[in-house]
Amino acid sequence: MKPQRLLRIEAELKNLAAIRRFVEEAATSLGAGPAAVSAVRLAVDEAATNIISHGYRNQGGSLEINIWSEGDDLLVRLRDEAAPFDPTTVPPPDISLPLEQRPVGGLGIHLMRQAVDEFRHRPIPGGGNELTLVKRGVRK
Amino acid sequence: MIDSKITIDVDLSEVHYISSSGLRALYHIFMLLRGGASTEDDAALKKGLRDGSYKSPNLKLLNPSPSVSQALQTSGFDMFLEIHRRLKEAVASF
Repeated sequence: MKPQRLLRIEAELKNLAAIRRFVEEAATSLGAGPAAVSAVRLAVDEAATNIISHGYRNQGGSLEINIWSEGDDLLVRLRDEAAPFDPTTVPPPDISLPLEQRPVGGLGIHLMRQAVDEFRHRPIPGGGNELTLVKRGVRK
Repeated sequence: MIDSKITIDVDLSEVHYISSSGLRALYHIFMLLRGGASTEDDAALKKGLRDGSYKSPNLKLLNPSPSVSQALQTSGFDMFLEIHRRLKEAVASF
């Protein structure tokens, strides 16, 4: 069985610090270097924030985060039971636009997209979302 | 007469991590400090952002870490917020 780490936690903003700590520890223990750990921590933080604030509309719910490695790659899967939402369809913000015309809300997804090499979404049959983030070549 | 213009230099030396929440906080400070901006200022801001010459006269950043600098760059915040390495230099720039 491949080594992996799993966190099940209530989807609340106050748990974001615990989520970030979990990602840091798990990614480090799976052999990721500091730059990759930092990038994956940011991506998961943004993904979890979206699930908590938009998916569950700050009403709480379950969140499961699974981290494992495949060769030199690190993979993170977030699963929730919130309404279907595919963040990969959100267009990247045009950062050259005047500030007033920039959708500030799209910033988190933009940072997530930039921090990892791949992210994909699939609705879970029966309800919920599964978001997979891939960071390539994470070994020190 | 006392100049009532408020300027803030945010010292980021001890900030090792920033997400979009932190960036949004900086954005709100930026907007608050622009609160009294005239339409003339608005026009100058829009033109300056387009040609890359605009930097906030009220809000500046000091000494961000490499990962915070990366986030500022990725989000395009470095296009309108000046970043300084030394406090003296940052204060003198207002």
